[in-house]
Formats: sequence, C-alpha cells, structure tokens
Amino acid sequence: MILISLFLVFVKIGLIGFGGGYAILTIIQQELTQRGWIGQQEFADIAAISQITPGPIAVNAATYVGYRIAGFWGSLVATLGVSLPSFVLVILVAHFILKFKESRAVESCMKGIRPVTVAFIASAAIFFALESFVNLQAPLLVNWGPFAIFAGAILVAVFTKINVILIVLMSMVAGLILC
Amino acid sequence: MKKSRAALLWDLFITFFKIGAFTIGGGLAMLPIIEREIVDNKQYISKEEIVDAFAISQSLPGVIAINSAFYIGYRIAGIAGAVVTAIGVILPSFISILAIAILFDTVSGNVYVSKALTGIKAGVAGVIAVTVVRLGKSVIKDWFALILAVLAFAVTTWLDVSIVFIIAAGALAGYLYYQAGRVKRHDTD
Repeated sequence: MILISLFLVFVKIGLIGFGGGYAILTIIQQELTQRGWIGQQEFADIAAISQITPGPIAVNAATYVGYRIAGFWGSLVATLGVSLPSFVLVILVAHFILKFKESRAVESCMKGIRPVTVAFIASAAIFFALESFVNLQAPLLVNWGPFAIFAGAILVAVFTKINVILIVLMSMVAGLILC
Repeated sequence: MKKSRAALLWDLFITFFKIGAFTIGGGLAMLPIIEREIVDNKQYISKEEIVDAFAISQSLPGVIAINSAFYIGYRIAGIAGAVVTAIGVILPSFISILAIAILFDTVSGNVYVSKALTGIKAGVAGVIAVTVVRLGKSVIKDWFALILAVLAFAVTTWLDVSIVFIIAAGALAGYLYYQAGRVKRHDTD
C-alpha cells in the first residue's frame, strides 16, 4: 500500500515539477514534509548532500525518501514514479515538436509558469537559510558562523567564476571550522 | 544489423551513465556535458537538435536531466533508446544515494558531519540566492511577471496552498494575460 502511495506522490512531483533542480526542491519538500514522510531537518540534510553527490537533486531525493519509507523497493518505486511523467510527455512532445514549439498558447502559459518557478527557487534559498542560520523564534539571534559562509558564498558566486560545486565544497570545509 | 543496434543501445547507456556519474549538482549542470558527449564526441545528433532537446527539457515538468536523456535517447534509437539513456543517467545517483541512505543513521549524530552539513546548507542558501537574481533577470521582463513571482512567493511561503494550484494559477494567468490579452489588443487595432 505504502509503495503505491509513494509511487503516486512521486508521479505527481514529476508531473508538476517545473523549473528544474532548485524549484523542484521546494515542491518535493512541501509534498513530503506535509505528509510527515520526512522531517524538515532531515530533508535539508539530504538536499545538502545532493549538492555534492552525482545526479539530479529530484532523483536523489526520491531515492533517499523512498528508501527511508519502504527500503530498497521504496527507493525504486519513487525514482520510477518521478521519471514516468517525463517519459510520457517527452515522447508526446518529440512527435509533435513543431506544434509544441510554435504554439503561442503553450508559450503564454510558460510565461506565466516561469516567474512562479523563480519564486519556488527563492523559497528553496529561504529554506536552507532557515535550516542553517536563521532562527524564527529569535530572529535577532543570527548564527554568525553559517551566516558568514552564506555571505561568502554569495560574494564568491557573484565576483568569481568559481564553479558552484567548488563553492559548496568550500562551504563544507568552512562549516567544519566555523560552525 | 541486430548486433549493431544492441551495440548502439549499450553505447548510449554507457555514455549517459558517465554523464550521470560525473555531473555533480544535477539539472542544468548536466547540459553542457551532454552536449559535449552526444554532439561533439559521438555525433549522434546535430547541434540544432540538441538545442531543441534542451529547450523542451526545460519547459516540460520533471527532472531536466531525465527529460533530455529521454528526448535524446528517443531521437537516436526510439523507445528502447529512451529507456536505456534514462536508466543510464539515473543509475549513478540511485546507487550513491542508496549507499548514503543506508549509512546516514550511523553518521548523522556525528558532530563533524553536522558541522559540514550546516556549512553546505549555508553555502547552498547563498548559491541559490544568486541563482534567483540571475534567473529573475532573464525571466522577469515585465510588471506582470514580477507581480506573478512576488504573489507566488508570498503564497508558497505564508499560505498553506497546494503547489499544483500555484502552478496552475501561474499558467492560467500567463495564458489570460499574454495570449487572450494579445488577441484582444489585436482585435481593437
């Protein structure tokens, strides 16, 4: 039974997961924490780990949460679930590619969806900030170590061409020293 | 003939397995590597077609890397190609995360692990914040898009509204404003 609901929830995530990586993170977080399938902190941990392991974040989250809830078969079912809508949609679109690309109606809908996915990505940033240095109960008590890492990551990302993965790895090392 | 098809599918699998294994961070980070492997090295499809593949992968819902794997695999070798490329791109992360899930309980209480994770989360918050600004600049081009983004952010953060509803509302608003609005403006011209 749990395998079926796992599968269906991840099919849903695959179906509404617009905007890629970080946007999908917000969607997964909402779907899973509201069901009580994984706690906020544990989700933040696994999402953090996903940044330095191979592969797409959504697949990583599906595999991890599936395993937590129903072992190996859970992880298999969740990963299949999140991929299934892509399979159907991509093959449909590959057949009707010209119509899809040229459809003004589709493009208009996408123009409405894109700003929404930017909002989801902003939400993901806030989620990580809350899990590392902001305390909602005492907003003035910023946790300075992680905050310095946050500010440092922004500066490095804006002013240098250093790769994102390297920034994340540098943050990890800084965490060992500062946190 | 049959043998060469099996060889092609195997080659597709290995190529996408490599792409899955060596791109950390996923999603958009994978696209340049897919392009290098599939277009430049193997010459399976043309540059134009890969541009289509990426555009479609990003506009459809779902994992961008999986979408592009399905699309490229399908174009090169039909349904079997799509299945093989997707399994190839998923397998490395499936295996590594499964290993982490199995080990996580034994290390999650460790103080150094928790320090390292806090550092990563803080850094990732910064990296994502920069992504929001960069992406926002290219996606939010008029007042309407800005209002949509701010509304969507407020609703996701403070209200208990289903994500499905927020996305559907965005699509509908986009359709009404950009499509129906355009038709109407055109009529009055």
